[in-house]
Amino acid sequence: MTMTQKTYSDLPAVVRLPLYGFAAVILALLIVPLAAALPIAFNAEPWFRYPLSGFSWRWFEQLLSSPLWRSAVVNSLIIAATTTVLATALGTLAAVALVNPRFRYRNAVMALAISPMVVPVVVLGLGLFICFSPLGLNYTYLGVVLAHTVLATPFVVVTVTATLTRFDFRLMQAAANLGAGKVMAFRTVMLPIISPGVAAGAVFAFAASFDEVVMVLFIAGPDQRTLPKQMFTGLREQLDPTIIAAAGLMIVLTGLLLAVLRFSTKKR
Amino acid sequence: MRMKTAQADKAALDRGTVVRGCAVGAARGERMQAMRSALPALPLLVFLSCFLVLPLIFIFHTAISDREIADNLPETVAALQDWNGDGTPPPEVYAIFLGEIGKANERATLRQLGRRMGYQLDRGMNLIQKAGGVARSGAATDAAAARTALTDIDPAYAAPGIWTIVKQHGSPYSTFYLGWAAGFQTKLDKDGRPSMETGYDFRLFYLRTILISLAVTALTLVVGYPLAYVIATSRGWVGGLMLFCILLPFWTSLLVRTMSWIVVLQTNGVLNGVLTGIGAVTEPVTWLYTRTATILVMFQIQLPFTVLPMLGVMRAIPPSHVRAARSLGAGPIRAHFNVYFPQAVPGIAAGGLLTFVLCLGFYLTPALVGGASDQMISYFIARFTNEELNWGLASALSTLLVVGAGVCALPFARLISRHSSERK
Amino acid sequence: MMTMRYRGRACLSLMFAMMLGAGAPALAAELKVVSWGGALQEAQAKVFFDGFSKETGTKVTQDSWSGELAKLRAMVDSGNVVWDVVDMDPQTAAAACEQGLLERIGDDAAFKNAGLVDGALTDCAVGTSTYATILAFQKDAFPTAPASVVDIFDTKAFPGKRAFRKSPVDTLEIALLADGVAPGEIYKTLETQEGIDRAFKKLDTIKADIVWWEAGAQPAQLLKSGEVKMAVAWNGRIADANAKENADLGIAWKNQIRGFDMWVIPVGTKNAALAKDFVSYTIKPEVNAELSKFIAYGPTVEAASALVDKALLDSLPSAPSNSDGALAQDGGFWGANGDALNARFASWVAQ
Repeated sequence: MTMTQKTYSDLPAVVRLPLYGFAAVILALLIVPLAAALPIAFNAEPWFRYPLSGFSWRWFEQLLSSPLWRSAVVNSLIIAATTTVLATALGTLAAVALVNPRFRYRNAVMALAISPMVVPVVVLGLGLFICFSPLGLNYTYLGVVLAHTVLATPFVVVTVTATLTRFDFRLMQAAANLGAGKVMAFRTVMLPIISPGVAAGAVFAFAASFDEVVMVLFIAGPDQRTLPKQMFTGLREQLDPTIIAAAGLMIVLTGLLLAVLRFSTKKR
Repeated sequence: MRMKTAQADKAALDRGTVVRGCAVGAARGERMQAMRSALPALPLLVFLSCFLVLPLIFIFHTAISDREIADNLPETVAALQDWNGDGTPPPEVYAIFLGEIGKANERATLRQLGRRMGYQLDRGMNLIQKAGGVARSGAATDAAAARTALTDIDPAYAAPGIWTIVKQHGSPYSTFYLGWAAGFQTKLDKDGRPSMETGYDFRLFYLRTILISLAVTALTLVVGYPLAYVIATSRGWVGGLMLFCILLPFWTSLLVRTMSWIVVLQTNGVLNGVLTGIGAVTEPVTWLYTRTATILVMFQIQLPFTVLPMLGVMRAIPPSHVRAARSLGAGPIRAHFNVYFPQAVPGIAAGGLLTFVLCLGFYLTPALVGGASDQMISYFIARFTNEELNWGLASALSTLLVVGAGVCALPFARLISRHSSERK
Repeated sequence: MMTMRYRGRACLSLMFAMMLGAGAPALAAELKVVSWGGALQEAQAKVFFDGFSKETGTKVTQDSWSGELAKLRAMVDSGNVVWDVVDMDPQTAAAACEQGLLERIGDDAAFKNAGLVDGALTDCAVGTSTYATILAFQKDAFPTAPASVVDIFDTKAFPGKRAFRKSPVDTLEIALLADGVAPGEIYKTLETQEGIDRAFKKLDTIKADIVWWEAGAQPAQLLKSGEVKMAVAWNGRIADANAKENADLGIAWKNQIRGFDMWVIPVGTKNAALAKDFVSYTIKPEVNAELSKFIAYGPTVEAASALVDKALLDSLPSAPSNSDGALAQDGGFWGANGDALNARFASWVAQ
């Protein structure tokens, strides 16, 4: 029975096999460039080419010892961490309202909340640059954090909203019946249950800020030079494998966060 | 009697109030609750109003602001209203102009005025700086002397060009920057005729942006459709692995992915290594800093954005539909295109639209792997903001980009959402 | 539970403290010096920055730029000048001086009496080293090596991609030299509309083969990675790549364009006095001569020339064997005409 069903739904082998081959090639196209680039970080000479002239940790050392790169890493961590806190708080709260059927304008607010994903970053960067100019927020940490929060919040909103649609709102009613105020119920009942979603949103927000370069080009001054900014400058001006070492660091860091997230949600 | 009626009236009134009050109370309670339900979204709303909506409004405002002449030369503008534009204005205008230049010099706004003049007039900055020098020297004591001093220091002051510009831009708002961004000839020579100096051709850059975006969208659709189909119909670990490959790029930054392509596409890079290795080419091919590289890398970056919406729709298509068509005698290909494909169209349209709109705003990728003639409109926005500090023009370019993208996207988005709600 | 919450709060406040702390100005005497990055700045750091720090106890912090005047203009316009001393080429210095962005330090007695070579002291700028724009090439790319900078226009004898700096400065001069204009006539020709058209017409002939670079370290990278076969470059950067990274690149010196790295002090900096001390320090003969040890740029002080290691002299722009057909960059010309030529060049490049 299943056999006959399959023959009906599937394409014939002459079509199917090339199709699968094609899919495999395209998927490889998504992965291979990264796989080809990363080993350059271990090249002994400063050129971006194969074969490697020898194995060396030199570029990773450079990444952590050169004052320019090290301060870039530190700046990125400070900015991404602060952005994560802000974006997660704003996004999670908003998500609570966005899944409430009583909230009449939730479609419009949802559209607004995710619009930073579609508006060209360069346009946003220019707008914030003009806005920040009289406020003296350009070339400050706060300015960069605010700009990154605009970009990072949609990730939190989308992730937490998705989690909340599976949340049983009768639990909140139960908490209220037991005398808990709204804030208390949110903190002690809802938050622990949706925390995996919030954590996932936070990781997205962190990654969004940690990767971001265009806003930094507009808003940041020399003191807020972040890792992606340093990489961008390097790619345009002085290619050396430290850039790839930095890329490796970025991949490892987001990967690590993801793994921690998966591990902790699995344990639950 | 009157008392009685009054009492009855009052009672009736009271009753009415109570009844009405109840209704009002219930409605108010409802509204209160609706408002309370919106409360948690308030911080984000305030935040986005300040840092998303307001900046966009500021951009539009900057695009139509044109303050320098209005702020620095108001009296000159007023004095020029009687001048008919032929030849040169009367000497009194020169004196007023010189006086205002002197004031601008003291306020340190002379350079801004000069830059604004330079946007529209050949050597405009230079002319204003020279006038600043004359004003500082204090040599011109009366109108005739002012006129002589200015025309002596630069013959452009004896030509109508500069005076035409001053006369026309006395209002703090104008369409000057929007016209410039839309590719109209804005620059004049000293006689007020269109300048020989060719500036940026923004129409070309908008056209380029649209063409590159269209090419990338078409590529992702053609390649993404079969790919999404394969993933949607695969089960088990193969499907999981494929999905992982699509999602992985979401976790790696745009910058890192663009960087990896630089390593691959370099002249001594991996791709040329492979190509010469298998004997496909004898001389290394130049890939980097070309249009081909720009489109290829943008395609790779955008593919997941096109595939995922398609995947969502395709997964919801019941396999029984195709089976039914097959059992009714349709061949596999025909069954696919007559039954499966039409149902996948909303996903295809959504994926395509998303990719097209995102492509319009691309900056990083063309900047890093494209050549000087592959830069899209975002590059020029960034350039005019950060390098040339011409915020008016950058804002006008942004306004046209956002409005254009919105005009392109909205009808489509409507159509898609109507389509998908019909399906539900 | 309580301690957890307090720890969370402490964490937050720490974060904000870091944000604020990092944004606040430092208390100790600090000088922000901006140069062109890469090998040049490394050399300057060793000789000038470290030396000045040791002598005066001033902390020198560094930033780098690629000659984009807009950054400086934005600082001066907003009244928030964070750069104290900037390394500029003559044309940028002249343009910035013209626009009123720089302190007019040229009249200071300390600089006037320092014995600087001709052209190394202008209204706003003090030269600290001499560099040359030369032609660098891959040694194994061509059967006969290019002999002159203008050979970059000869696509028959030297086919392949070639790199220019994305700037009209030097580029237009080289185009006219290649078109047969004598070195002494270059700037006279460029002052006419026909001369400018002629330069762009010459550039049109090789435009399709040009890769543009923006930062000084790029040419060596482009050559070594095989992206281009020849590149207009600054001599010190090529010599550095050869010495430190075994790049094995050739240099054609004929028709080199000579310029100065010049210190300027932005108008409105709070550390102007300290900045002047720093500039004076770098033109002490014994300090000025030291730079050539770390990068192949020559001194700008007469008295320093004698102190330069004899072994190094041949690799410097001023060596007689390198000076055939040399042209001195005319900062004054670019200061007056830079705006218009930059605009035309930028739109020509982007077409």
